[in-house]
Amino acid sequence: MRQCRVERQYLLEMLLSAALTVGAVGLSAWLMQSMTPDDPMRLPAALLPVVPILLMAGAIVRVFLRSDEYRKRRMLEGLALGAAIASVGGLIYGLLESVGLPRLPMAWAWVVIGGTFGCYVYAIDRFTRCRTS
Amino acid sequence: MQNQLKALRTERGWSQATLADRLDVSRQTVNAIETGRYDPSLPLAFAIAKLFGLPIETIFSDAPQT
Repeated sequence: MRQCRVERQYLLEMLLSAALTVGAVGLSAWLMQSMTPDDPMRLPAALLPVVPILLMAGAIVRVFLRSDEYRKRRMLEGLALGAAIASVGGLIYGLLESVGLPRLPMAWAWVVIGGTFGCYVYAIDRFTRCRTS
Repeated sequence: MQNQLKALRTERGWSQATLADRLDVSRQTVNAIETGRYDPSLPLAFAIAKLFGLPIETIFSDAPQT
């Protein structure tokens, strides 16, 4: 079936690029450990994981482009919901930081967006999977 | 929007998966259209009409889903 094919391909691409990212992060850390702080190769070594990260981004773009109109719409809704939660949550947490809560890195916004997106798309899939008649 | 997709599909003895394959969409899309949670785009509506050999207005009507 079309969507199964699309999802299998996505899973394969994502797993491969995630494995490459883990390997590249490890290699980058190992290379940087053996370099002096003023080594000119330090910057390329630090950016080594960017290549597999771009492959991961490519897998996400491809699964979106290969999906049909309904799935595309649900994905966009998931992204919009994630962005809304991250921006409102970020604003509220920013106010709470002023009264002493610990500072959080901006990367948390991506975790919230990605988490919300994943949960939303999964919930929609679960909801439609049960009705096969 | 109301549609006769489920009736037309069951008339032919097709499953949602079969119809999805014939339309080159996901089964979730067929399910969402049948249950009225999603109104298809014009190209998909025309593809559905062509597949069943019926005018588009026979399958889809603007009456609210009951």
